Amino acid sequence: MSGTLALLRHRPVWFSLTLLVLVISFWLWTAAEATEKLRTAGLNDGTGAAQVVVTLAMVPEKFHMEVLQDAGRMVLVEGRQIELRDVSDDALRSIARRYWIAEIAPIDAEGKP
Amino acid sequence: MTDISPTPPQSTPILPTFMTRRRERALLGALGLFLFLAAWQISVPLIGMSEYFYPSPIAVYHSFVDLIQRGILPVYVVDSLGRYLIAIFIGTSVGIGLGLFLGLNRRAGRIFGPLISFLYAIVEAAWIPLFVVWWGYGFKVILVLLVYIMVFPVLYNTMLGVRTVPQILINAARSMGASRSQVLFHVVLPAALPNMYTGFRVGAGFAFRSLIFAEMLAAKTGIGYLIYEGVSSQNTARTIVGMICMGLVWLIIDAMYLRPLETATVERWRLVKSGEEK
Repeated sequence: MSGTLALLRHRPVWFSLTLLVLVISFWLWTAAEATEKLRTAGLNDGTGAAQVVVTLAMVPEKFHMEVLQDAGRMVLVEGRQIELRDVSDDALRSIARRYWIAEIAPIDAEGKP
Repeated sequence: MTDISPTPPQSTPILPTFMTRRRERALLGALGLFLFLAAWQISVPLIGMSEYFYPSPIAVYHSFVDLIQRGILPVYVVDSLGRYLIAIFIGTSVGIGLGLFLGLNRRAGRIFGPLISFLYAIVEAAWIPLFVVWWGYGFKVILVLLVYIMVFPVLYNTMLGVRTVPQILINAARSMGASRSQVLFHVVLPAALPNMYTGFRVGAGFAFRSLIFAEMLAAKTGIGYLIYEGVSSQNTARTIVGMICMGLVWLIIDAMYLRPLETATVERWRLVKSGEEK
Protein backbone atom coordinates (compact mmCIF):
# COMPACT_ATOMS: atom_id res chain seq x y z
CA MET A 1 0.00 0.00 0.00
CA SER A 2 2.77 2.43 0.97
CA GLY A 3 4.56 1.45 -2.26
CA THR A 4 1.51 2.46 -4.31
CA LEU A 5 1.25 5.75 -2.45
CA ALA A 6 4.94 6.39 -2.99
CA LEU A 7 4.41 5.80 -6.69
CA LEU A 8 1.71 8.48 -6.71
CA ARG A 9 4.28 11.05 -5.62
CA HIS A 10 5.98 10.80 -9.02
CA ARG A 11 4.81 13.55 -11.32
CA PRO A 12 4.36 11.42 -14.47
CA VAL A 13 2.28 8.90 -12.49
CA TRP A 14 -0.16 11.31 -10.85
CA PHE A 15 -0.45 13.39 -14.00
CA SER A 16 -1.19 10.31 -16.13
CA LEU A 17 -3.75 9.11 -13.58
CA THR A 18 -5.41 12.54 -13.52
CA LEU A 19 -5.56 12.50 -17.32
CA LEU A 20 -7.01 8.99 -17.24
CA VAL A 21 -9.72 10.03 -14.76
CA LEU A 22 -10.60 13.04 -16.93
CA VAL A 23 -10.78 10.91 -20.09
CA ILE A 24 -12.95 8.27 -18.39
CA SER A 25 -15.24 10.97 -16.96
CA PHE A 26 -15.58 12.54 -20.39
CA TRP A 27 -16.23 9.12 -21.94
CA LEU A 28 -18.96 8.35 -19.38
CA TRP A 29 -20.53 11.78 -19.86
CA THR A 30 -20.68 11.40 -23.66
CA ALA A 31 -22.05 7.85 -23.28
CA ALA A 32 -24.85 9.15 -21.03
CA GLU A 33 -25.54 12.02 -23.44
CA ALA A 34 -25.69 9.61 -26.38
CA THR A 35 -28.15 7.34 -24.58
CA GLU A 36 -30.34 10.33 -23.76
CA LYS A 37 -30.26 11.67 -27.35
CA LEU A 38 -31.13 8.27 -28.82
CA ARG A 39 -33.83 7.62 -26.19
CA THR A 40 -35.45 10.99 -26.93
CA ALA A 41 -35.41 10.16 -30.65
CA GLY A 42 -36.73 6.63 -30.03
CA LEU A 43 -33.66 5.18 -31.72
CA ASN A 44 -32.15 3.24 -28.85
CA ASP A 45 -33.71 -0.10 -29.76
CA GLY A 46 -30.92 -1.04 -32.20
CA THR A 47 -33.16 -2.02 -35.13
CA GLY A 48 -30.56 -1.72 -37.88
CA ALA A 49 -29.79 1.00 -40.43
CA ALA A 50 -31.63 4.23 -39.77
CA GLN A 51 -32.59 7.39 -41.65
CA VAL A 52 -31.98 10.42 -39.44
CA VAL A 53 -31.80 14.17 -39.40
CA VAL A 54 -28.92 15.40 -37.28
CA THR A 55 -29.09 18.90 -35.85
CA LEU A 56 -25.78 20.43 -34.93
CA ALA A 57 -25.18 23.01 -32.23
CA MET A 58 -23.63 25.26 -34.89
CA VAL A 59 -23.37 25.61 -38.66
CA PRO A 60 -21.34 22.62 -39.87
CA GLU A 61 -17.80 22.92 -41.15
CA LYS A 62 -15.67 20.56 -43.21
CA PHE A 63 -14.65 18.73 -40.02
CA HIS A 64 -18.28 17.97 -39.07
CA MET A 65 -19.19 16.95 -42.62
CA GLU A 66 -16.32 14.46 -42.72
CA VAL A 67 -17.33 12.90 -39.40
CA LEU A 68 -20.95 12.57 -40.52
CA GLN A 69 -19.99 11.25 -43.95
CA ASP A 70 -18.20 8.41 -42.17
CA ALA A 71 -21.41 7.60 -40.30
CA GLY A 72 -23.77 7.31 -43.25
CA ARG A 73 -24.87 8.56 -46.67
CA MET A 74 -25.30 12.31 -46.55
CA VAL A 75 -28.22 13.45 -48.72
CA LEU A 76 -29.08 16.94 -47.58
CA VAL A 77 -27.52 19.84 -45.69
CA GLU A 78 -29.78 22.68 -44.67
CA GLY A 79 -28.51 25.22 -42.14
CA ARG A 80 -27.61 23.29 -39.02
CA GLN A 81 -29.50 20.18 -40.12
CA ILE A 82 -27.98 17.27 -42.01
CA GLU A 83 -29.92 14.33 -43.37
CA LEU A 84 -28.19 10.96 -43.24
CA ARG A 85 -29.31 7.63 -44.69
CA ASP A 86 -28.24 4.07 -43.91
CA VAL A 87 -26.71 4.88 -40.56
CA SER A 88 -25.74 1.69 -38.72
CA ASP A 89 -26.40 1.27 -35.00
CA ASP A 90 -22.74 1.65 -34.14
CA ALA A 91 -22.36 4.74 -36.30
CA LEU A 92 -25.54 6.21 -34.80
CA ARG A 93 -24.24 5.71 -31.28
CA SER A 94 -20.87 7.10 -32.33
CA ILE A 95 -22.32 10.34 -33.70
CA ALA A 96 -24.72 10.64 -30.76
CA ARG A 97 -21.67 10.76 -28.49
CA ARG A 98 -20.40 13.92 -30.17
CA TYR A 99 -21.22 16.82 -27.91
CA TRP A 100 -21.53 19.22 -30.84
CA ILE A 101 -24.56 17.27 -32.08
CA ALA A 102 -27.59 18.82 -30.42
CA GLU A 103 -30.31 16.46 -31.59
CA ILE A 104 -30.97 13.37 -33.67
CA ALA A 105 -34.42 12.70 -35.11
CA PRO A 106 -35.63 9.74 -37.19
CA ILE A 107 -37.21 10.20 -40.62
CA ASP A 108 -38.89 7.79 -43.02
CA ALA A 109 -37.61 6.68 -46.43
CA GLU A 110 -39.13 9.80 -48.08
CA GLY A 111 -37.31 12.04 -45.67
CA LYS A 112 -40.42 12.93 -43.63
CA PRO A 113 -40.26 13.02 -39.82
CA MET B 1 36.58 47.73 19.22
CA THR B 2 33.75 48.72 17.01
CA ASP B 3 33.31 46.85 13.80
CA ILE B 4 33.23 49.43 11.05
CA SER B 5 33.29 47.05 8.09
CA PRO B 6 30.40 47.74 5.74
CA THR B 7 27.54 45.32 5.97
CA PRO B 8 26.93 43.48 2.72
CA PRO B 9 23.87 44.73 0.85
CA GLN B 10 20.91 42.47 1.42
CA SER B 11 18.95 41.48 -1.65
CA THR B 12 15.38 42.62 -1.28
CA PRO B 13 12.85 39.97 -2.23
CA ILE B 14 10.46 41.19 -4.88
CA LEU B 15 7.54 39.38 -3.27
CA PRO B 16 6.76 38.71 0.42
CA THR B 17 9.01 36.15 2.08
CA PHE B 18 6.19 33.69 2.80
CA MET B 19 6.12 32.89 -0.87
CA THR B 20 8.39 30.15 -1.99
CA ARG B 21 10.88 30.71 -4.74
CA ARG B 22 8.81 28.52 -7.07
CA ARG B 23 5.67 30.58 -6.48
CA GLU B 24 7.60 33.78 -7.00
CA ARG B 25 8.95 32.43 -10.26
CA ALA B 26 5.46 31.36 -11.40
CA LEU B 27 3.99 34.74 -10.52
CA LEU B 28 6.73 36.60 -12.34
CA GLY B 29 6.20 34.33 -15.35
CA ALA B 30 2.47 35.06 -15.25
CA LEU B 31 3.21 38.78 -14.99
CA GLY B 32 5.42 38.58 -18.07
CA LEU B 33 2.69 36.75 -19.95
CA PHE B 34 0.09 39.31 -18.87
CA LEU B 35 2.30 42.21 -20.00
CA PHE B 36 2.86 40.51 -23.36
CA LEU B 37 -0.90 39.97 -23.87
CA ALA B 38 -1.68 43.53 -22.81
CA ALA B 39 0.91 44.93 -25.24
CA TRP B 40 -0.48 42.71 -28.00
CA GLN B 41 -4.07 43.84 -27.35
CA ILE B 42 -3.09 47.53 -27.21
CA SER B 43 -1.06 47.25 -30.40
CA VAL B 44 -4.02 45.95 -32.44
CA PRO B 45 -5.91 49.30 -32.79
CA LEU B 46 -2.60 51.18 -33.04
CA ILE B 47 -1.42 49.11 -35.98
CA GLY B 48 -4.90 49.19 -37.49
CA MET B 49 -4.60 46.06 -39.61
CA SER B 50 -7.55 43.80 -40.36
CA GLU B 51 -8.19 40.81 -38.10
CA TYR B 52 -7.01 38.49 -40.85
CA PHE B 53 -3.50 39.97 -40.79
CA TYR B 54 -3.20 40.69 -37.09
CA PRO B 55 -5.81 39.09 -34.81
CA SER B 56 -6.10 40.37 -31.25
CA PRO B 57 -5.66 38.10 -28.21
CA ILE B 58 -9.39 38.47 -27.54
CA ALA B 59 -10.16 37.19 -31.06
CA VAL B 60 -7.75 34.31 -30.47
CA TYR B 61 -9.50 33.50 -27.18
CA HIS B 62 -12.91 33.54 -28.91
CA SER B 63 -11.51 31.30 -31.62
CA PHE B 64 -10.16 28.92 -28.97
CA VAL B 65 -13.56 28.66 -27.27
CA ASP B 66 -15.28 28.27 -30.64
CA LEU B 67 -12.94 25.44 -31.67
CA ILE B 68 -13.71 23.59 -28.43
CA GLN B 69 -17.47 24.13 -28.79
CA ARG B 70 -17.29 22.81 -32.34
CA GLY B 71 -15.46 19.73 -31.12
CA ILE B 72 -12.54 20.40 -33.45
CA LEU B 73 -9.71 21.26 -31.07
CA PRO B 74 -9.99 18.24 -28.72
CA VAL B 75 -10.03 15.85 -31.70
CA TYR B 76 -7.06 17.55 -33.34
CA VAL B 77 -4.99 17.60 -30.15
CA VAL B 78 -5.74 13.92 -29.47
CA ASP B 79 -4.89 13.00 -33.09
CA SER B 80 -1.58 14.85 -32.94
CA LEU B 81 -0.68 13.32 -29.58
CA GLY B 82 -1.59 9.84 -30.81
CA ARG B 83 0.64 10.15 -33.88
CA TYR B 84 3.43 11.57 -31.77
CA LEU B 85 3.31 8.89 -29.08
CA ILE B 86 3.21 6.01 -31.58
CA ALA B 87 6.18 7.49 -33.48
CA ILE B 88 8.13 8.14 -30.27
CA PHE B 89 7.56 4.58 -29.12
CA ILE B 90 8.61 2.99 -32.41
CA GLY B 91 11.51 5.38 -32.98
CA THR B 92 12.88 4.91 -29.47
CA SER B 93 12.58 1.12 -29.66
CA VAL B 94 14.32 0.95 -33.04
CA GLY B 95 16.96 3.49 -32.02
CA ILE B 96 17.83 1.73 -28.77
CA GLY B 97 17.85 -1.69 -30.44
CA LEU B 98 20.14 -0.60 -33.25
CA GLY B 99 22.27 1.51 -30.93
CA LEU B 100 22.86 -1.42 -28.60
CA PHE B 101 23.64 -3.71 -31.50
CA LEU B 102 26.12 -1.32 -33.08
CA GLY B 103 27.57 -0.26 -29.75
CA LEU B 104 28.19 -3.80 -28.56
CA ASN B 105 29.35 -5.11 -31.90
CA ARG B 106 32.36 -3.08 -33.04
CA ARG B 107 32.55 -4.76 -36.44
CA ALA B 108 28.90 -4.04 -37.20
CA GLY B 109 29.53 -0.47 -36.07
CA ARG B 110 32.36 -0.14 -38.57
CA ILE B 111 30.25 -1.62 -41.39
CA PHE B 112 27.09 0.39 -40.81
CA GLY B 113 28.54 3.50 -39.15
CA PRO B 114 29.25 5.44 -42.38
CA LEU B 115 25.82 4.55 -43.80
CA ILE B 116 24.10 5.77 -40.64
CA SER B 117 26.14 8.98 -40.67
CA PHE B 118 25.16 9.47 -44.30
CA LEU B 119 21.45 8.95 -43.59
CA TYR B 120 21.58 11.18 -40.50
CA ALA B 121 23.01 13.97 -42.63
CA ILE B 122 20.01 13.91 -45.00
CA VAL B 123 17.55 16.36 -43.55
CA GLU B 124 14.11 14.80 -43.00
CA ALA B 125 12.32 17.32 -45.23
CA ALA B 126 14.30 15.94 -48.18
CA TRP B 127 12.67 12.57 -47.66
CA ILE B 128 9.10 13.86 -47.71
CA PRO B 129 8.55 13.85 -51.52
CA LEU B 130 9.84 10.28 -51.72
CA PHE B 131 7.82 9.16 -48.69
CA VAL B 132 4.69 10.65 -50.27
CA VAL B 133 5.35 8.71 -53.47
CA TRP B 134 5.79 5.50 -51.48
CA TRP B 135 2.98 5.86 -48.95
CA GLY B 136 0.75 8.68 -50.18
CA TYR B 137 -0.57 11.46 -47.96
CA GLY B 138 -1.74 10.43 -44.54
CA PHE B 139 -0.80 8.75 -41.31
CA LYS B 140 1.90 6.46 -42.75
CA VAL B 141 4.01 9.31 -44.10
CA ILE B 142 3.81 11.19 -40.81
CA LEU B 143 4.70 8.06 -38.86
CA VAL B 144 7.65 7.13 -41.06
CA LEU B 145 8.97 10.69 -40.98
CA LEU B 146 8.74 11.00 -37.20
CA VAL B 147 10.27 7.58 -36.65
CA TYR B 148 13.12 8.53 -39.00
CA ILE B 149 13.70 11.73 -37.03
CA MET B 150 13.52 9.94 -33.70
CA VAL B 151 15.75 6.97 -34.54
CA PHE B 152 19.07 8.70 -35.23
CA PRO B 153 19.59 10.76 -32.06
CA VAL B 154 18.54 7.76 -29.95
CA LEU B 155 20.74 5.39 -31.98
CA TYR B 156 23.83 7.61 -31.84
CA ASN B 157 23.57 8.37 -28.17
CA THR B 158 22.85 4.76 -27.25
CA MET B 159 25.86 3.64 -29.28
CA LEU B 160 28.00 6.32 -27.65
CA GLY B 161 26.72 5.41 -24.19
CA VAL B 162 27.48 1.72 -24.70
CA ARG B 163 30.94 2.39 -26.09
CA THR B 164 31.94 4.74 -23.29
CA VAL B 165 31.10 2.38 -20.45
CA PRO B 166 34.40 2.09 -18.53
CA GLN B 167 35.97 -1.26 -19.30
CA ILE B 168 36.93 -1.61 -15.65
CA LEU B 169 33.23 -1.91 -14.70
CA ILE B 170 32.65 -4.66 -17.26
CA ASN B 171 35.82 -6.47 -16.14
CA ALA B 172 34.82 -6.19 -12.50
CA ALA B 173 31.39 -7.69 -13.20
CA ARG B 174 32.92 -10.48 -15.28
CA SER B 175 35.52 -11.28 -12.63
CA MET B 176 32.63 -11.79 -10.21
CA GLY B 177 31.12 -14.34 -12.57
CA ALA B 178 28.49 -12.23 -14.30
CA SER B 179 27.11 -13.68 -17.54
CA ARG B 180 26.89 -11.66 -20.79
CA SER B 181 23.26 -10.80 -20.17
CA GLN B 182 23.99 -9.80 -16.56
CA VAL B 183 26.78 -7.51 -17.77
CA LEU B 184 24.40 -6.02 -20.31
CA PHE B 185 21.47 -5.45 -17.95
CA HIS B 186 23.36 -4.61 -14.75
CA VAL B 187 26.38 -2.71 -16.08
CA VAL B 188 26.12 -1.57 -19.71
CA LEU B 189 22.49 -0.44 -19.83
CA PRO B 190 22.50 1.51 -16.52
CA ALA B 191 25.79 3.17 -17.50
CA ALA B 192 24.46 4.03 -20.96
CA LEU B 193 21.10 5.25 -19.67
CA PRO B 194 22.01 8.96 -19.35
CA ASN B 195 23.24 8.99 -22.97
CA MET B 196 20.16 7.11 -24.11
CA TYR B 197 17.95 9.62 -22.35
CA THR B 198 19.83 12.53 -23.95
CA GLY B 199 19.18 10.98 -27.36
CA PHE B 200 15.54 10.42 -26.48
CA ARG B 201 15.08 14.01 -25.37
CA VAL B 202 16.76 15.47 -28.45
CA GLY B 203 14.76 13.14 -30.73
CA ALA B 204 11.49 13.84 -28.92
CA GLY B 205 11.96 17.59 -29.40
CA PHE B 206 12.83 17.26 -33.08
CA ALA B 207 9.95 14.85 -33.65
CA PHE B 208 7.43 17.19 -32.04
CA ARG B 209 8.43 20.09 -34.27
CA SER B 210 8.41 17.86 -37.30
CA LEU B 211 4.99 16.50 -36.36
CA ILE B 212 3.50 19.95 -36.85
CA PHE B 213 5.33 20.34 -40.15
CA ALA B 214 4.28 16.88 -41.35
CA GLU B 215 0.64 17.51 -40.41
CA MET B 216 0.66 20.70 -42.46
CA LEU B 217 1.69 18.64 -45.49
CA ALA B 218 0.09 15.25 -45.11
CA ALA B 219 -2.82 15.27 -42.64
CA LYS B 220 -6.44 16.33 -42.49
CA THR B 221 -6.52 16.61 -38.72
CA GLY B 222 -4.07 17.63 -36.01
CA ILE B 223 -2.55 20.80 -34.63
CA GLY B 224 -0.30 21.25 -37.67
CA TYR B 225 -3.31 20.99 -39.96
CA LEU B 226 -5.17 23.55 -37.82
CA ILE B 227 -2.26 25.99 -38.15
CA TYR B 228 -2.14 25.54 -41.92
CA GLU B 229 -5.91 25.44 -42.46
CA GLY B 230 -6.42 28.59 -40.40
CA VAL B 231 -4.47 30.67 -42.87
CA SER B 232 -5.92 29.06 -45.99
CA SER B 233 -9.46 29.62 -44.69
CA GLN B 234 -8.59 33.23 -43.78
CA ASN B 235 -9.04 32.56 -40.08
CA THR B 236 -5.63 33.44 -38.70
CA ALA B 237 -6.94 33.48 -35.13
CA ARG B 238 -7.25 29.69 -35.49
CA THR B 239 -3.67 29.51 -36.68
CA ILE B 240 -2.54 31.30 -33.53
CA VAL B 241 -4.72 28.98 -31.41
CA GLY B 242 -2.90 26.07 -33.07
CA MET B 243 0.48 27.64 -32.33
CA ILE B 244 -0.46 28.25 -28.69
CA CYS B 245 -1.72 24.66 -28.36
CA MET B 246 1.52 23.38 -29.85
CA GLY B 247 3.54 25.31 -27.27
CA LEU B 248 1.27 24.29 -24.39
CA VAL B 249 1.30 20.60 -25.33
CA TRP B 250 5.09 20.64 -25.48
CA LEU B 251 5.33 22.46 -22.14
CA ILE B 252 3.10 19.81 -20.54
CA ILE B 253 5.05 16.93 -22.09
CA ASP B 254 8.30 18.51 -20.93
CA ALA B 255 7.18 19.37 -17.40
CA MET B 256 5.20 16.23 -16.68
CA TYR B 257 7.27 13.54 -18.39
CA LEU B 258 10.63 14.60 -19.80
CA ARG B 259 11.93 16.64 -16.83
CA PRO B 260 11.06 14.00 -14.22
CA LEU B 261 12.60 11.34 -16.47
CA GLU B 262 15.72 13.47 -16.76
CA THR B 263 15.91 13.75 -12.99
CA ALA B 264 15.59 9.99 -12.71
CA THR B 265 18.35 9.30 -15.22
CA VAL B 266 20.79 12.03 -16.20
CA GLU B 267 20.77 14.09 -13.00
CA ARG B 268 20.92 10.99 -10.86
CA TRP B 269 24.34 10.29 -12.31
CA ARG B 270 25.30 13.93 -11.80
CA LEU B 271 26.02 14.50 -15.47
CA VAL B 272 24.08 17.76 -15.31
CA LYS B 273 22.79 19.86 -12.45
CA SER B 274 19.06 20.25 -11.96
CA GLY B 275 17.42 23.59 -12.68
CA GLU B 276 16.94 24.19 -8.95
CA GLU B 277 20.65 23.98 -8.27
CA LYS B 278 21.77 26.45 -10.87
